[in-house]
Amino acid sequence: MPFIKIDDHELEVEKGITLLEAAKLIGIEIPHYCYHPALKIVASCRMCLVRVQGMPKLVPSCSTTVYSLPPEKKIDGKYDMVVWTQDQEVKDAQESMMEFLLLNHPVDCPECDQAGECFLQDYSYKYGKGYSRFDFEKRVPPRKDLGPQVLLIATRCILCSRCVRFTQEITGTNELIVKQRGYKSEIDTFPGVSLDNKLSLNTVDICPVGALVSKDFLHKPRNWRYEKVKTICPGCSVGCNVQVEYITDSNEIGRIKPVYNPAVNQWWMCDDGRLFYHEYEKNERLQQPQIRTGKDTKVVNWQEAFQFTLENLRKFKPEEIAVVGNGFATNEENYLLQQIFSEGFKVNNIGVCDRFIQEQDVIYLQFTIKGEKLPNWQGAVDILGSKLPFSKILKKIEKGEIKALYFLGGDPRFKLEEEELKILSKLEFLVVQDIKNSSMSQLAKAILPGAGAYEKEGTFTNYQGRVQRIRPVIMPPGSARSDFEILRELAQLLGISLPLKPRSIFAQISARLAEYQGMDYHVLAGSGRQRAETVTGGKKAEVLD
Amino acid sequence: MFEKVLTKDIQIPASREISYYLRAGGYKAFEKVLKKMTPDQVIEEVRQSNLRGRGGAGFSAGMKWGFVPKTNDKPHYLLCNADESEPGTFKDRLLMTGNPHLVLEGNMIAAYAIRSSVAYIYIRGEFVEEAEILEQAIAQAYEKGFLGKNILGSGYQLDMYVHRGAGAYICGEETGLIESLEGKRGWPRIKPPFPAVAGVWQCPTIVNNVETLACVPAIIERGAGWFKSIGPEKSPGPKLYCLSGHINNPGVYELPSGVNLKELIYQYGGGIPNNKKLKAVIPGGSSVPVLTADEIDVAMDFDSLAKIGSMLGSAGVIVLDEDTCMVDALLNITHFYRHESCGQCTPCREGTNWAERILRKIEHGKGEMKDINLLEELARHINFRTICPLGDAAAMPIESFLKKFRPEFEAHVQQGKCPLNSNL
Repeated sequence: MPFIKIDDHELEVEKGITLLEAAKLIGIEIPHYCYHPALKIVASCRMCLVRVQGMPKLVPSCSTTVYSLPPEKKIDGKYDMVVWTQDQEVKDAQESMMEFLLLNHPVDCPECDQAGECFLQDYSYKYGKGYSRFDFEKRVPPRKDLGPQVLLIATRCILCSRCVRFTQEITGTNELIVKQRGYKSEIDTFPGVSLDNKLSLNTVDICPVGALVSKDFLHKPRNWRYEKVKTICPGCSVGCNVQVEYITDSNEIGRIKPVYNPAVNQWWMCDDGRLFYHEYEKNERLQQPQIRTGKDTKVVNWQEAFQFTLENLRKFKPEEIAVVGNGFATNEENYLLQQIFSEGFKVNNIGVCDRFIQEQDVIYLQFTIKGEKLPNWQGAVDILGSKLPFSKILKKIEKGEIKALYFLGGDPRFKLEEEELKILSKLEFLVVQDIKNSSMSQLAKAILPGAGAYEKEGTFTNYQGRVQRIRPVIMPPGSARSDFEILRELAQLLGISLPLKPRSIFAQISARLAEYQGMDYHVLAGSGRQRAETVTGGKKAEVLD
Repeated sequence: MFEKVLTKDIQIPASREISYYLRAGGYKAFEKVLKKMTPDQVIEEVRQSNLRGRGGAGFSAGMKWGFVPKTNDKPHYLLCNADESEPGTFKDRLLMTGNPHLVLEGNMIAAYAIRSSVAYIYIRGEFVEEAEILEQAIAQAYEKGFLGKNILGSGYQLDMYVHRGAGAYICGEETGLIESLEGKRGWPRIKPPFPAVAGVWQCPTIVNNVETLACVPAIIERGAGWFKSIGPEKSPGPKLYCLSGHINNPGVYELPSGVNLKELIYQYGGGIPNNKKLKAVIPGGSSVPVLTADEIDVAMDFDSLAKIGSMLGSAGVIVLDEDTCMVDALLNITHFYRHESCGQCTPCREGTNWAERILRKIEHGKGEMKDINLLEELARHINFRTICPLGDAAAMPIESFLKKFRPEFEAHVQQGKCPLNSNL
């Protein structure tokens, strides 16, 4: 392996890695704009220039790779390369690049969404001059509406071309181009085309400045006001790792960004997933437990709701009761549900919601959005089995075999057909534990307000069988509770002894389910773990695509 | 008197016909390589001749060809760079118009040497007539069996195409040219990899200037020794010099490499109109460092000009007389590079524009002394810091004009007007 020196650090590195990457290994951050680890290297911003001994001019560290020299040619008898990232010549170049990039920049930080997380700002402080020597009128290219989600504030653009390369290399949709030439160059869409693909908002993430902005985030509170939590996107079964940014005081999510996970989503997430948090706002959320004795419902406290639920369920024989778990519930919640009903009520009819395939998989060059929309359908099937889907339970209800149903919901998009509602109306007792008012909750005798995916803790298993941790970001509305808490309360009332925390429930799951054996809740915290493929009971063929 | 090799019969309109070319002994060199030489022998002969690239860089043509892998696991391509666009340069245009078959024959031999069966002539979009002449010449060559399958019974196959650019200077930079040929924006690529390893469609590619390739048939016919004997040994051969600007007889002159610049201007070019005094000469196309009148006793070859801090470049000699405003001249040059900058690299995109605006300000008498220093600093910030040499091409004139004619810039600032251009 080549032995190189970067500033005062000596290190051994693999041949062929770039100087920028090598420097990163020892904690030296070389400033850069156009370089992005996922994209083709163009070395055009010239911000990452460094000096390499023996090279006649400064070289871009993003494209210059580490080489080894024959023994007799080694520098100082031992180095294959000697690199300076901060000498006078490099600093001079960095300062001049900053000056060039800021010549026409409006410096409108006070109204720019990027302020606070802007590389122009950060590098200006670190490498810039602090004042401008440009005494001409600035170039003011017009703002452009690039597509349904993204706006270009062209005055702020530094032409790093990351966004263009993204549409060429990651989506393969090629909507973006650089048009014109030289100092008139501008980012634009290809004539007659709009930046209308399902990954478009990633261009906003990779824009190092405030040029590409998300319409969803435009003029929202400044980015430094948000708390941040890492969790999993509930938008589909891919399970993209995300960072949710929220404001504690208002209990509101401001925006969601992907978090790098090479095994799942790399650097990206889809726009549907990113904007999925709005789905929870579309319908009125359930906020209070309610019971229905006659025609009308009445708001009760949790105690009353539980009592009412248990009293009524006890009126039925075990074979008259059915339970439905959900692909929006965590593994721990589905597990609790199963335990409660098999132990507490000796119920056998423990089923799972139907798969929800909303569309075909949307396949881009380097990213696929799954058509299977339930984020934890795989986990639900692992725990509850797939032999008794909701559609079969409906048939049993229609035949009058099942008279009481405990339905665990959670999907903000969930809708039932008229036909299905008619069948459900035959039930003598229906408990709906869900997040929003729906045609189904209107049939329920007991309504237990649960939590959305951004409001609870546990694990999801994605379509690949990767088990990942979800974390609560905001509080459920009103007196709604996470499904885990609701089920735990029920278990206690039934006198079933179960651990009290998701992590201890997960420990039980990993002890009992072959596929989850040996998994540790804490170890999942980072980028998750792949569950084993040894699936029992012939489920394998059904659950694996 | 020096025997012209490249432009011998160029005045005769019929010289562009294949019949004329054949009568004059044309395509004999190509026949020779097909029948008597291996590709490596051709490369060796050209390497021995010390033929250096006429596009401006002056790199050894034979050595460049030698970088192409000897294997054929990917197709190899020959690219003839006919995107001649450097201000002050108009030699390739003359060759293509007056002696197209010589250009073609040079292409054929080079293609054979690098084991390529496809050659492209990338010609700038404005050269409409030249493109038509080349296409006609190619059609004639196919007809006579110098192109196509099994050429002259040798088993060698070569197809040749003319590809017209859309008029961007940057597409004359070899990797910008390759991108453009592939149908993309003419944005130069980062090197390495060099085109000889990964060029057109990532296949081994040699890009040579028109004049470079036009030298090849004579090298094959008369030998490397003969070629090397013309002019300085390390930078030899017949050379085309373009004379323009304040000169009595502007035009293209074929002379031995290394002709004295003073002789070129006063003897061949007939001196300066109205017996005016010489102020400056740009010896190799607008991008190279300018020379003062005192510096013109110099041999016009790659090494001699490099020794005095300038370059032979494309040998486009621009003569400037005593009445020339050097600020205006530099503004003109800088305007060109600003306009032609592809916009990819930060310093070139932003710096050329800024420099032009500062120069315009100075020329119009609105400049301040600090602008002159700023201009100098800007050039330093652009030079050597871009992907392709366009940044350097923009910076070198600024640096050299300021170094050699700084008092003129200061006079603009002090007088608040251009001392020479009263109509501004």
